[in-house]
Amino acid sequence: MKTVLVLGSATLLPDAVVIEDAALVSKAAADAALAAKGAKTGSFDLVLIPVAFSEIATPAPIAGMIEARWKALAEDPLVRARTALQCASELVRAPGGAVVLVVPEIGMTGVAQLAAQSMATEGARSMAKSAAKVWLARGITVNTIAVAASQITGAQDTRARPALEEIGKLALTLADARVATGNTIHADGGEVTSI
Amino acid sequence: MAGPLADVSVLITGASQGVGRGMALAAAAAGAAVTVTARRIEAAEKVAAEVRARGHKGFAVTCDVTNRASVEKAVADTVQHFGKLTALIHNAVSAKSSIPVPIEKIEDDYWDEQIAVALRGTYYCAQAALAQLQANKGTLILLTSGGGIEGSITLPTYGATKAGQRGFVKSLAREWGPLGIRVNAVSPVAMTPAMENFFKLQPVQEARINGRAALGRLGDCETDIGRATAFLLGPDSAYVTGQTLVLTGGSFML
Repeated sequence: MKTVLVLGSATLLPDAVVIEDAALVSKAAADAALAAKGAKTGSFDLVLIPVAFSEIATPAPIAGMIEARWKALAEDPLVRARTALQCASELVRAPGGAVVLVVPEIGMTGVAQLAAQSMATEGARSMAKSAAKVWLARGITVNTIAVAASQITGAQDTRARPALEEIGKLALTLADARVATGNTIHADGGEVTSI
Repeated sequence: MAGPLADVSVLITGASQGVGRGMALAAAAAGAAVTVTARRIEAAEKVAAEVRARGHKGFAVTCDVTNRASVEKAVADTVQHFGKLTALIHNAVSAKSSIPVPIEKIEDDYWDEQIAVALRGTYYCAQAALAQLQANKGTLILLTSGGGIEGSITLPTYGATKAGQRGFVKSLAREWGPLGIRVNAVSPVAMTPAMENFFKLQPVQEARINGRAALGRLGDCETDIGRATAFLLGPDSAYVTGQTLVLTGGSFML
């Protein structure tokens, strides 16, 4: 049985310790929330980081977008991802632990009216790659699972797609796959394939 | 001035040196009217004068991409001077972007400045240019980096901003395609003044970086990076949008 920490507002695995988005606005706030949950250094086998789950439900064209909306959609999710990775570095078991980001694949495929959110998701995915390169020496893997926006929002879709609980199970599998790091796996029902 | 970019009026941010200067010189040589911008007018004017000295159209204005009003004024000044804006290239980067800081040590001031220049600056540039780009069926180009595509051991914040811009490019290309606006990214590796300084400090890095490139050398800002970027400004790239043009001599291949 793996110990799992979810740094972000998402239901990905039962029995996981969850720190909500609101606590990831800064490292200090996150540390306080983690302390309240009794999280200890190096105690998690898997740290899951959902990115921009709260931001992708509402289309937001760039034309006319006010600055507060821009910050909320593009900059704030990236700050949360940074905070989450900083926390993950301390909390994931080393060696042997795994960090898995779950991102909507909007920034890889391009989706109209989600440009601000695409900035956040791709920025976070790049940070995961950077972390993977460095944390490899500590025996920590860092990978990303990319999903369709509808898997997160629950919006009607013409394609059958894996439920978020299945994504959580895939993350557990990735945590066991010690030889892969810095990669992105699309788990969107087969729509997008790696180039 | 005749040339493939005779109908192009382009504003380039961060164009006082390096890749920005190279793109300005190459676009102007292909016939474009070029607005060179930098935070200091003296620095921008030096390159604009260089453009004019070669017999081309160069105009200098100040532009701080972290300030919405400054970006809007640079666009307005360009339209007043050249009659229109058909392209904007956002090339400016924060001076802090080349300072190595691991993820665990990133603090707010270091982060915020890079976000302001690369990401919020992109948002300001896109909004400020939209009306002109739509009216002229123009193009927006963002400068990204292999550090964003591959991740970066030493510069994770820079990598995040550059990858963020690339995600923005793809989604905005879909959003603005129906308006007739193309949106692309350029990912260069070139011998810039910053790179020259880096090699002076760490000579061993020059051979390592050159060795990564299939062509065995760093790009020239004007002839290698500028001319290829000029292609994205002109009519020959009318069917190209949402793409990243990787100009690395083969050190990184998509």
